[in-house]
Amino acid sequence: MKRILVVDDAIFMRKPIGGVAAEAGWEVVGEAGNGVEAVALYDQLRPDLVTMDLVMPEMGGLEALRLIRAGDPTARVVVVTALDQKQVLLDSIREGAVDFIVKPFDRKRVIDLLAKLA
Amino acid sequence: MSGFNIAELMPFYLDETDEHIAGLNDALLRLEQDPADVRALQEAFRMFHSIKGASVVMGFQPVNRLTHHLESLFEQLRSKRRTLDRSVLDLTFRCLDDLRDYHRDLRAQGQSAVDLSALTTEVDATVRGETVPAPVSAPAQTPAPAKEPEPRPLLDSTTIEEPNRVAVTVVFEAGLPLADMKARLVLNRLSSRGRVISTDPPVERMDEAHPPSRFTVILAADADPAELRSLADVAGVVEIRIDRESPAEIEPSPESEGTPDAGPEPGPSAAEVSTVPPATADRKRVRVAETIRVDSDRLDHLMNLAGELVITKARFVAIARGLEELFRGSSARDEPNRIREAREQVKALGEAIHGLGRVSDGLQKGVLDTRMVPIGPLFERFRRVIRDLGHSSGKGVHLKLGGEKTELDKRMIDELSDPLIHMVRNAVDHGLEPPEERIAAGKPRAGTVSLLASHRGNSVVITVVDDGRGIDVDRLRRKVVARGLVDADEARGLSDRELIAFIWHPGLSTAETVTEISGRGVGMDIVKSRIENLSGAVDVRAVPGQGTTFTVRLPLTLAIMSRLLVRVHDEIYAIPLDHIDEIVETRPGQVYRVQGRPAIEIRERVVALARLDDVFRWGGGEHPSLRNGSRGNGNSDGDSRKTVVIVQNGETTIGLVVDELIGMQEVVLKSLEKNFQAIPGLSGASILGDGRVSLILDLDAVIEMLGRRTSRRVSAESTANGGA
Repeated sequence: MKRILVVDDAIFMRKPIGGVAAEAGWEVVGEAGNGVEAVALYDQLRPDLVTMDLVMPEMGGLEALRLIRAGDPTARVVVVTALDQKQVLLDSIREGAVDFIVKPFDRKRVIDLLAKLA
Repeated sequence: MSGFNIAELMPFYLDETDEHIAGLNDALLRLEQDPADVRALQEAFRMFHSIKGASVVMGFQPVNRLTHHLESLFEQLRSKRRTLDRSVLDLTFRCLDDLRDYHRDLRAQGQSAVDLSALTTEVDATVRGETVPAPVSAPAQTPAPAKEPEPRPLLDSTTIEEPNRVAVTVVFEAGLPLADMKARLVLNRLSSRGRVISTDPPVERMDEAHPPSRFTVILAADADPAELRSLADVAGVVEIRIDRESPAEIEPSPESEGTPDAGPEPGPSAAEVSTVPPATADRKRVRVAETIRVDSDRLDHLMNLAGELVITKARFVAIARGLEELFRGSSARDEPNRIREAREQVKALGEAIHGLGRVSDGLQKGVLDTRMVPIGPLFERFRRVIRDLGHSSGKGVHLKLGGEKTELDKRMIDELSDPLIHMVRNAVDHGLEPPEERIAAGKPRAGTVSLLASHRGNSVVITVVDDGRGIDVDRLRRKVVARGLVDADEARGLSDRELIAFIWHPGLSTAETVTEISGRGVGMDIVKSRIENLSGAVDVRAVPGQGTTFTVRLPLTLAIMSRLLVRVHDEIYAIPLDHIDEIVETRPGQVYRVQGRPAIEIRERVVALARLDDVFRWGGGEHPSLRNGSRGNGNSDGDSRKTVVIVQNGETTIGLVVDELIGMQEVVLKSLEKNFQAIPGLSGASILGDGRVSLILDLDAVIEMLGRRTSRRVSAESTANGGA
């Protein structure tokens, strides 16, 4: 079973993402509420995939993506973005995000994405 | 968010949004003190962003629009393109108030009538006022960031002959949001396997106004097609073609058949980035389930107790099995042995029961603890209230908080907000003097309002204290007379304390002291009744020239309370422990009469004696046992020993004569109103261990009723006959 780490400062967002992932046959191995937690949990859990919100307290998603990929260049991180965060999205694509999910997200699209990354 | 159950997410949305609004208030107050507080600015920006993101998912467009503009406003502040001034602060505070009201309605009714459009326009105008009026492409877009650098590598337009040129074309799902960014993602992923020669459409021509429906990357690469295919296959791509030749000669791949799509011409496409799915029609008026956050430690503790419960059960099973064997009548054992073994089993049973008692007590307390939350966050909200009151009244006000860690039942915290706001408001409006008057009186210019919470036995006591002028008793006396509540002669005879009690009178408070709290008038009489609805009590004390103190006393929890159980006739009554001062036994000669009523003297204090027969009637008359002529023990007036429970409501002390003391017990409160009917003097009923019903006395009401007993007897017809 593929293992996923869900990173978002809102439970409100983590819950649906985790729910869809579980339905799509992924094991949600961890949840993080900010970038610092995400980096620590990534090191500890080494999941197959991370979904990463961009705007978070303490440390944002872009910085966390950088640190995670610096520690593990094979890390696969999907960025969760709003429509108007194109600059930071572009930066994260450059930093090696494997894909992105647009908020508000469409369930089918998330399932499609997870299927492609499984 | 299509495909998700919105109703299920609603409690999370509301809780998180409430937290964000509280956090925003806090951040703004910090910014008001120090406009250069970068951290507060960042937090405010992030929280507006979060509300915006969440509201669009839930389909609350008005919230989304307002927070979108607020986010833009804070982006300007954050990037130092605007300075935070009074008008921006006030505007933002007003937005927070309306957002709070909007979500309060949403929580209560599943929809909201609060109109956010005027504020949205105002914030938008403020945002635009700063920048040169630039044509904003779509309302849902923030002003574009200065320059958008393109992903590495830079495109190589000078075509060099490569032996193995590959054209990778992806076709995007119709209406895919941020398709231009998907194209950049595909480009970036492919660029890891080869050198990008060109793209179609060119990257610089793609933006949200011209989203590509398909995207071709011409790559100089040795990679095998399967690998390129997997790199290009990001979410939202419905079709991939890989061709060794030029992009013009692409053949559709097998899986592409039947996909309706526009031709491969670049440039503007009819497809638009759809921003937001239309609000779901099935979002009807759903009342939102109440949620509560519980420390995981507390849940772990409950888990442990549940585990112990299982172990205890196993012990009972073992004992039962042992007893069964013992009594199966095997003749192998002789009678003395059997008795000895049975005795051992009974002993084990006693131990098991003791263990069960321990676990069930722990479980009861543990479950209650899950409902307990600290009062701190409620108190914190008053920073904002005090700020606004200080501004509107022109008085400098300091807020002092104490006992923020005191825990109370979550429901009580929710219900307390309005009454506390009113008391605080009253303290600022009526308690604190204007600055000049304070200075003349030798007080600091700014007044202080304190909110303090503490545990006292089984109660939580919350006080609202101001250091103002106290209550002007003479003015109150004139007002009471002017309102016709008492006549002038009577008013002259009233003590200060009696007069002050009039501030709870609806005739006075609604007329004179009502103030608007976020659009709802709450008078002091409402404050009193709200707190009484929580089984609490409120009291006010004032010292002229020194200040006023409101004291609210609340039970720790609404569900379970410690009571003294007593027997009167053949019924069992429960008396709240908080109201009991002491219990005394009187000898025959100690009871004497004051104004025709029995009374006793306790420590140089005369306490009137009363029986429940003085307030209650059974089926319209005396208690059945009296009608039959068989009087209960110690029921006669002054000629026998009596057990007297001395009770008080903070003002009046009364000795309640009971027939028997049963003991203290935790009782679970059940509403009489819900199951039967409301009876003055009784706050509810509870079921005792032996299945009998005990009636829980509402002592505040009982004492009040006894105070009026000369005028009339309150009939409590068809009082539940617990003994029957």
